[in-house]
Amino acid sequence: MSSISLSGVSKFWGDTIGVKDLSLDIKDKEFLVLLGPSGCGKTTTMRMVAGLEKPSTGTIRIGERDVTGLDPRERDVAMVFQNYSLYPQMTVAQNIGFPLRARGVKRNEQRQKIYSAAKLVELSEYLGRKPAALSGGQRQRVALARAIVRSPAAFLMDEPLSNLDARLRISMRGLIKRLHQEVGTSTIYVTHDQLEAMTLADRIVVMRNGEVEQIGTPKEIYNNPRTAFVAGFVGSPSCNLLDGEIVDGMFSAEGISLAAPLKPDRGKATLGIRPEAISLADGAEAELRGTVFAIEMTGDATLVTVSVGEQQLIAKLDADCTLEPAQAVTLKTGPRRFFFEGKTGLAI
Amino acid sequence: MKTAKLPESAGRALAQVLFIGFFVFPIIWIFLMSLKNFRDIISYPPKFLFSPTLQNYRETILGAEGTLQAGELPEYVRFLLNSMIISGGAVCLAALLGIPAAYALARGGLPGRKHIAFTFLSFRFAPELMIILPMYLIYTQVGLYDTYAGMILSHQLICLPLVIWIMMSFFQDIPIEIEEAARIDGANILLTLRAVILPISGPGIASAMIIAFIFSWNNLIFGLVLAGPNSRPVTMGILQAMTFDQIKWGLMAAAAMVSAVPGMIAATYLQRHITRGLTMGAVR
Ligand SMILES: Nc1ncnc2c1ncn2[C@@H]1O[C@H](COP(=O)(O)OP(=O)(O)O)[C@@H](O)[C@H]1O
Ligand SMILES: [Mg+2]
Repeated sequence: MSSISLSGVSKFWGDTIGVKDLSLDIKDKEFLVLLGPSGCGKTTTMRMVAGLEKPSTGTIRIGERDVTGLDPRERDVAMVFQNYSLYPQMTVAQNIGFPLRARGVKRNEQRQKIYSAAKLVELSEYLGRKPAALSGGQRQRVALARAIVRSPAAFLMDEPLSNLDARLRISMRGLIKRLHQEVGTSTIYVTHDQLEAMTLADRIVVMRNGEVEQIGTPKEIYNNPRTAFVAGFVGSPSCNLLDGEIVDGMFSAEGISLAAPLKPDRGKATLGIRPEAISLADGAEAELRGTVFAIEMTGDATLVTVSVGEQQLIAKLDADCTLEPAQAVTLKTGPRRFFFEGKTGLAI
Repeated sequence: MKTAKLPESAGRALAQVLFIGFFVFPIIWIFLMSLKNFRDIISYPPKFLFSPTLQNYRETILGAEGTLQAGELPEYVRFLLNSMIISGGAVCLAALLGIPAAYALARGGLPGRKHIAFTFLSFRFAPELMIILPMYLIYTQVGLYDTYAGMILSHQLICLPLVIWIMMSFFQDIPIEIEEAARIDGANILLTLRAVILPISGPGIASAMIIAFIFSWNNLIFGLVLAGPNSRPVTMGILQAMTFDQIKWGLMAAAAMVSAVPGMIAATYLQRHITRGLTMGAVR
């Protein structure tokens, strides 16, 4: 178990930027999630930590060791791949035991460790099977056991749940969380699913175009997004982002008029409001005026898409709300709203 | 629906019969010929009804009566054994050299590996006649003429490209993540090859070796030019039926049938055992 630190790490392929000047510190025992859209450099970052990819610049340390130039074998990290990557000709037990075999661990000791790792992921009964005879969730549990079995310095997981169906994903998420609590190994976990990130992470790193957009706890990311991109990426349904203008402490756009920070005193801006922070209002309270565009029932709430001028927003309203399409509505926002500078997207 | 489909499927059936007939007819013809006596073979119009005889096979395999010295093998059997040694040896050597080469070409960061791979392939489509005379001259000079070693070496021109190309595409189909997982798990290249890559590749290696064996077995030209009485392969054995004063058609047909047997067995094996989905369960 140890900390991991990346400083000034970049990866280029010719003109293609994979990762740009990334600095990160993963504390011992921390569960760090790299979150971002596809192609933002999450996998590249993880592969550089694993040693499968050589950074173009920068240094990577695991514990006290500079591992930048080291082979994956010498780094003592374990990795779980999106597509499981099991050894098809080996049984579950042989798969789990392979890292031990590669390190020349004694047979007796191997057997014991394989058994306890299999028990942790609830696979004890399948030790004699081949991967082809397992379901997707079972395969990924084999991959997890193979990672746990040798007590590595760190776990690296690259979208381990994205090939599973929704229900299985939730139970596997629980399993991963429990495993981390049990073994306490530092973990870097890659995902593009914000809910996975929010539920698993001690800290989240939001990435975009190969660069870090924000680092923080799930709460910080959710409550204080540093940029409009972060605000739009976390939360479901995602945060409404509405363009407008700030003039002397008022944000306004067609159909929108509400109080804004006093600085800057004027300029283009983006308003961020989470759907759950919007409610119906009448008369003097109204901050947003529009017409109902679409209504979706989710069971516990009603998602109402409202056209406000040229723009649209989604409001999460009560399940029993009685709005009709094309009806005019007036809405207000709660205290939690964000303002971002128009050009840079940075929080004001 | 059904009535509309009928002529279509009848047409397809006819096409299939023609197609199969085109390939199977020569084999049937030679098979029938191998069962005829000389008189029936040369009769015109050709005879489809005749009393079959195994005399041709007997003479092919056991030798003509009274020509054998004690303890001597019939000529044709010697040729068969020669072919076994040459093709078997050539395939083993090609596998030994070709599998690592294919792996390096599929996975290694070798600059220009596409060109190297193509060069190997080009051995297959350059006509052997182009190089056979220079090879003959070299072989007689260095003493490889009419030796098993020389024949095995010359058959590398047939087997090596086949093994390299089949195995290369096979290795490329193995998801790279499996090898990366092995590296991260701490396996060195030897353990990765031995415990991960080769077990997955078993069926691929088998098919590559079988195909190389068939091509090597069927080769005539190297045996014709580079082999003498000591190492003549079975394809030359078939030609032995052409003698100075006559062509023994029946013997030739019987020899051809017998020498086609290994190829047929191999093809059947290939069809039955080489299936896709070899990495089933590893990924996805
Ligand atoms: N081997 C490679 N060669 C060239 N470009 C690559 C390579 N691997 C990744 N990239 C590029 O780097 C960027 C980041 O990729 P990746 O780290 O896989 O993104 P993510 O995992 O966040 O979806 C992408 O634009 C991708 O096309
Ligand atoms: Mg990725």
